[in-house]
Amino acid sequence: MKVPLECYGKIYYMNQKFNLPVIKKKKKINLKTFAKLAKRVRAYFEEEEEYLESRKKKDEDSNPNRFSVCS
Amino acid sequence: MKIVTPTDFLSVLKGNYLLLDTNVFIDDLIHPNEFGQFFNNLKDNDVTLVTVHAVLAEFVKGATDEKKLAEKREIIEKIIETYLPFREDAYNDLIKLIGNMQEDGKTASITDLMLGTMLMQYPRKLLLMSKNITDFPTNIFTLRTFCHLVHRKTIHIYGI
Repeated sequence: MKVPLECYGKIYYMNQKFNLPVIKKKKKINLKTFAKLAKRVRAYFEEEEEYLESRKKKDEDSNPNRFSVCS
Repeated sequence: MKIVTPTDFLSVLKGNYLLLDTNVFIDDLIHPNEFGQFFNNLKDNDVTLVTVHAVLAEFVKGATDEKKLAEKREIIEKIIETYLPFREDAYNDLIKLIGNMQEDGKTASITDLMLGTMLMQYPRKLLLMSKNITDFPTNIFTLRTFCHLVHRKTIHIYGI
């Protein structure tokens, strides 16, 4: 039996026995489009990493006493 | 890179729900073909891939514009079937978990605490795949199986 559960404005239909959402058909991943998207997203993470490094360096340079800046 | 699994791996997971931690989504960016095939194989064996919104937030945070945020989100949503909702008593379970973890809870991330809570919310049929085994001590969580990521000069392990 399926029972509805509302969460973040969405209704999930839960299997009453296990209380987990019922997923009738699982969607397969298209490997080609997935790999292209993954390459772009990996580049975003690398950009974010560079930003963090530059921010860290900027914090160190602007702190004459060299105490670590807690965030 | 190869993903190597023990012989009973699929029989442990078959018919169950596999909760994916943030590090799974990060690793699949580096090895999309291997992980894509791995996920499709799980789906073929009736394993339902899920995660929680806390993992989504951890993965997408830091995105510099809306387009990048949407694409980061899309990576997760191409893999999972759904996000698992927390039930009303989730925060009671979270506090219970923190109590059980004692000093180990001090270094656990909020996302990992939420994942641990999810395992308590759905004690039957839900398994967690994570590389971060330190936040899921085996005196509280049962290690059912594992898989290895075999690189040229190193091996990483995912606990399940």
